[in-house]
Amino acid sequence: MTDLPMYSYSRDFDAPLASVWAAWTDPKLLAVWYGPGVETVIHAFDLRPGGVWLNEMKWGETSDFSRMDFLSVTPEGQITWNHSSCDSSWVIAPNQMMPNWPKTLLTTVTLTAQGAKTRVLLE
Amino acid sequence: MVDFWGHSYNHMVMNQAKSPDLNAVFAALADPTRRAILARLMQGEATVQDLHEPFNISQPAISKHLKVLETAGLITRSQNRQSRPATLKAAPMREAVDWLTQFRRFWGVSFDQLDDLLRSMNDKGTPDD
Repeated sequence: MTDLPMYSYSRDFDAPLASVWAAWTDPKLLAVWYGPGVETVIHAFDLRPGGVWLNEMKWGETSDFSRMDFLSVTPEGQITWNHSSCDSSWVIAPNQMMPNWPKTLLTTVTLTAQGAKTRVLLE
Repeated sequence: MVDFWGHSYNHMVMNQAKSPDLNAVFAALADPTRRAILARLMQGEATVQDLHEPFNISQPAISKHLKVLETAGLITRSQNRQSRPATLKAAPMREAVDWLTQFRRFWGVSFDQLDDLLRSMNDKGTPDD
């Protein structure tokens, strides 16, 4: 499946790798930054292959649900997961706003130390 | 329905929309020959014969690429002419661009927020847990 289209996005953060890893893997911290300008509620977060992150984003009267099924975890290195839109019972379903958008995205985040900074590459 | 960018969506329009799966659009766009075919079609309709010469690939190969583009909804092919010329359809491409824009904004704004969080963690020292 190497011919799947891929999108990547990278940014360097002025913080040590351990802090960036904590921000991605501690659900209390993750809920603070994940989701643009919305209230993020993490209903479950079990970081291990086969584990799941159940996420709700709330704005106004609207909620958007997604589930991330973890595929692999390399401490302070890389996490891969299947990122899916789902309904309020965590069953994978088309995004309510964009019904023909991809339901599931294979997502990889890779953290690498760049001196005192940390590069986050999302694919 | 209003999304987190404040865009509103019309349910009627959405439910009636029968545009193809964006996965098919991205898969179709992932191939350089198919992107070149689309670029050629921006200048106007073309038949398999028209495309096979400049691209220097076999007519069956061109037909295969056109089939992928047609399935993705990126082109239509005339049914009433033997040569079945292909014509560009722009709507799915627009949707693909919209999707990329929204994806980019989702992570862009989230990463801005991550940056703020990391700064505040740095000010206070790393939480000891």
